[in-house]
Amino acid sequence: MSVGAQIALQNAVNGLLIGGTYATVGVGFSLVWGTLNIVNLAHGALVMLGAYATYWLFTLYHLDPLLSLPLVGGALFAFGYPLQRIVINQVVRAPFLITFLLTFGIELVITNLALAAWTADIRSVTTAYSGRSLALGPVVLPAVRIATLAIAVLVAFGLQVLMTRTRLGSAIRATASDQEAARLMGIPIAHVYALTFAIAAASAGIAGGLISLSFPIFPAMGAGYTLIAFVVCVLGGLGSVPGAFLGGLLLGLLQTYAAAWLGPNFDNIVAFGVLIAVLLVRPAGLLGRAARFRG
Amino acid sequence: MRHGSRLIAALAAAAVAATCGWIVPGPARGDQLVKLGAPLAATGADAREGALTKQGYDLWADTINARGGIKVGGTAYKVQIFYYDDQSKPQISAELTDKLISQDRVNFLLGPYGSPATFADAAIAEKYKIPMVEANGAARKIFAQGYKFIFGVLSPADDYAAAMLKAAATLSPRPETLAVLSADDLFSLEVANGAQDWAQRNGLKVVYFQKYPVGAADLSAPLTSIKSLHPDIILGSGHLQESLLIMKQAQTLDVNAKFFGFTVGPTTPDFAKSLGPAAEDVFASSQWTPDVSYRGPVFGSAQDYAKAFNQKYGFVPDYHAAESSAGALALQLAIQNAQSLDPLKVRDALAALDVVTFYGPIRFNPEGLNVYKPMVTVQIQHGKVVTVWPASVAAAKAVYPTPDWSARQ
Amino acid sequence: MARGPQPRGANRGALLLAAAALAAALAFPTVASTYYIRLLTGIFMFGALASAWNLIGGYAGYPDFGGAAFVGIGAYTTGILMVRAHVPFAAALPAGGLLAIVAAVAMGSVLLRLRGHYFAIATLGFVIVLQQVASNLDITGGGTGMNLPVARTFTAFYYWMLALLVLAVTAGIVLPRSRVGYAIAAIRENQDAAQVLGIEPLPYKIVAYAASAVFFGLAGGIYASWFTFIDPPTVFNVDFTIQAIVMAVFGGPGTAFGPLVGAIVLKSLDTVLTNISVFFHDIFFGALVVLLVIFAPRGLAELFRAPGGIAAAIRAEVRGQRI
Repeated sequence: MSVGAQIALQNAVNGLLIGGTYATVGVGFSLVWGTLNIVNLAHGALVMLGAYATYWLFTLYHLDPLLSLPLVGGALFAFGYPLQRIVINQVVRAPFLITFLLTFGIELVITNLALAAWTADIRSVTTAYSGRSLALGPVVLPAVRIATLAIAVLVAFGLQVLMTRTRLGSAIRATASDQEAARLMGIPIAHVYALTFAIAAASAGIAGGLISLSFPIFPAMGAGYTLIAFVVCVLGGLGSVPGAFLGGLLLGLLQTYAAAWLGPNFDNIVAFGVLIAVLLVRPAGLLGRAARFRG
Repeated sequence: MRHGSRLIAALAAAAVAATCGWIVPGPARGDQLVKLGAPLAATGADAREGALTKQGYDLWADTINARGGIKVGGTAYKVQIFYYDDQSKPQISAELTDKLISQDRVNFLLGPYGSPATFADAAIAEKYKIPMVEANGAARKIFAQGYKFIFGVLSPADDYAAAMLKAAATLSPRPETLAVLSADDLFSLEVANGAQDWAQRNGLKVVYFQKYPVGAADLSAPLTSIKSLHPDIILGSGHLQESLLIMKQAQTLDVNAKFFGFTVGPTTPDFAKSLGPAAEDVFASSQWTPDVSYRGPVFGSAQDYAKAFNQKYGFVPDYHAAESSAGALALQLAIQNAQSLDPLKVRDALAALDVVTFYGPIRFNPEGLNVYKPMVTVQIQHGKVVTVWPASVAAAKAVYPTPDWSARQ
Repeated sequence: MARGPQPRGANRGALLLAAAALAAALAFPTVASTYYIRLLTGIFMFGALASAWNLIGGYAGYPDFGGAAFVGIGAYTTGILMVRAHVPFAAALPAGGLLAIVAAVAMGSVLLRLRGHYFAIATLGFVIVLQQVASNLDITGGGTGMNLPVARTFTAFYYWMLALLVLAVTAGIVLPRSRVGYAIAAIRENQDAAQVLGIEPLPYKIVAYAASAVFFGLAGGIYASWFTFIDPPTVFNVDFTIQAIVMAVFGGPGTAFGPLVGAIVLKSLDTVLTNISVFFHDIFFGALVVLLVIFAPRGLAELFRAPGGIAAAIRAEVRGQRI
């Protein structure tokens, strides 16, 4: 295989693997946006909390990060439910700017509490297998990234099963499509909303745990991941879990190839250029519902 | 209209709070005090480096005050440093500098951390004609403005690259190819360009030269490209966060080189701690290490300084703290030379300063830059930072070439 | 939101108050220290930004997150002209504003076809793309940034920003009462109905967008010369937009003076909090925003609907009337 082809293949692998991380970050965000119609600016902060939870479990109790993921997910679930039920629920039917401001304020509080508690020092989780990689012919597959992608698939699959094959999933989808009808049918709206948000928070926590293995973590890291979640949702289509998954992979590929062909300093130009193009041409994204927001 | 009156109440409270914001804070201090101002990153991207800087300033202040302070015209002045957190943002740093001068009425300024903040603050210092001695902004651009009130004790940015490449050139077999990966910021770009210039003038072939966004979270793509080019030297120009990332990803992607070098990162305690064995054999350039053989007023020798710092803070200092202490020391010596607290007299004394200290020679060229102090190159050996170049101060020989990842562990 | 001709009484009171405040502001630098001059310059800037955002976000109802793009365009245009072409500030600044208008028309004709969240995220993407473009170009100095000539006095910027603020607030008063303004209001209330009535939405939306952009651009140009040093992350910084939005919404979007009030109150609060504890001020600020949004969302919404703006609402409240 020629050197050029090898590099292209390695980049494809890199892109898909990092896309797994992006996908996990995005699925929860898409769920909340599609169901509650809330753009949760604090989503990245939840990812950050998951990353730190994983870090502390590892540092203090030597709990392997991959094994602690269910714990972290559970913790963020427990955090997300009251956050939605008590705080965010107040503005669920308010205009977009109000919910934006609210989640913005929440993001400020969470991020700065984390800063006060854990300082701005950059941390990372380094396990025995952190540096390991699998060589498949000309391509190198970092072990941690493979695990991340595998878990991303599991999370997306799990969420999709939840949404399509459980009663809760039906309730969520019913509420999303017609809130009044759902209420008339006896669905406890506030509870459903809170569960949805909690599930999304759990997935954000898991994403954070995965991130702590591959990337440096610090309290202000959330904003970047919220942005990534945005792009993933637009690319993949709102309200579609498989869509968010594919959107994450696509974003990973786009950024990696942009960095490889144009230079790392073009990654945002390409990613957001594509974002704007998608919004104009096909706002529904890859797998989303037909756009309701064309002007 | 309950919600309306609630709103009125909120507005009234806000109005009261707003008025409170205008009250001038703080009483005036006593006369026997020299007030120094330092906007310093306590939070944000540079928080770690900012903390090291503060430790350097504080060590100097404590040492001086324990001896009774600075003697000017028969009076002993104690030193007090006013710190504000500039959140690693240049525009906030500039505002805080203004506040320190016009509200807190500091006599002199100590520099912030980082070239962008130093650049922004220098303009304020210049405007008010208050001398600022800085120790953590190495970009030459800061000194290319024709400002008269900014002085930097550290060696300029391009020296970082030259030191590492000169060290590499002494190794055998001599490296022939160089890959440069730089963060897209003022300081890192000057270093990267300096590296490219040096390479071109000294027969080192630059096979890769790219910049990445500051704080990039993933560098797999550039590292993949670099891997296919098999450079002898991989030079990373950035800050601690990025240096860590590059090493981690180089390991997972199996990117090998005979010489890994970084401008900022390896000398801080966090680098070896975070990376563990992956940090082994990494090179860095350093403004100073405890191995250099200089000695001077107040702190004695470099080893004496390191001991004093270790005693106070519990770890061996890296150059960030040392250069900060040196900056404050330079200011103190200028005040003593001028025997005055008048800003213009002290400014002139700084311009005329020519002294050797624990940190090395401190002397400023007409732009205010200390081009008279050479840099050193260090390497991480067995988890510790060791000086390896120049030979006159080397504590050990460099380990070269760096073994492949597959050959380690 | 502003709806039709305003009751005269409310208008006169507000205008008198504004005139008095303006006179005080003009005289202020003669008695105040440079620290307060700098502080107020910042408040004027954010007051202008908040009022400018109001034109597209409040009156037209398009939540724009791209204001920072125009700040950057204005800053760099002014900077490049001053440094590379030695154009004096007074000429470089309007050039920055002009380029902002051009960019707004170009981007607006494309982006204003989107609505709601999609418009917001697209304009946000615009800022991020431009930030990276600026760091890749040589003419902007790339990632290193650019140094403008050091100004001789800071007080000049106080007056530039004050002038900008007055212009922005005036635009906020004049625009909704103009024919263009009525069309924009109609589009905001119900775009499809407006279209049926013969109002072609896109050109009007572009006007509102460009009107907003010019102020962001001019603010950027003044900011660049004021701070002397600019680089892509400093001027193409989403923070500008977000703060403008928070101030505008808190103060009352869709009113002429609301955003300015929001800017004054929030920036002052920010200063107080920073003085109390630099470390915790963001926590307090975030908590404040959360509490305000929860406990006064109707309050803010009432302000949205009040004809005559805050002054009328307060007067009505005092008299125990309903609006």
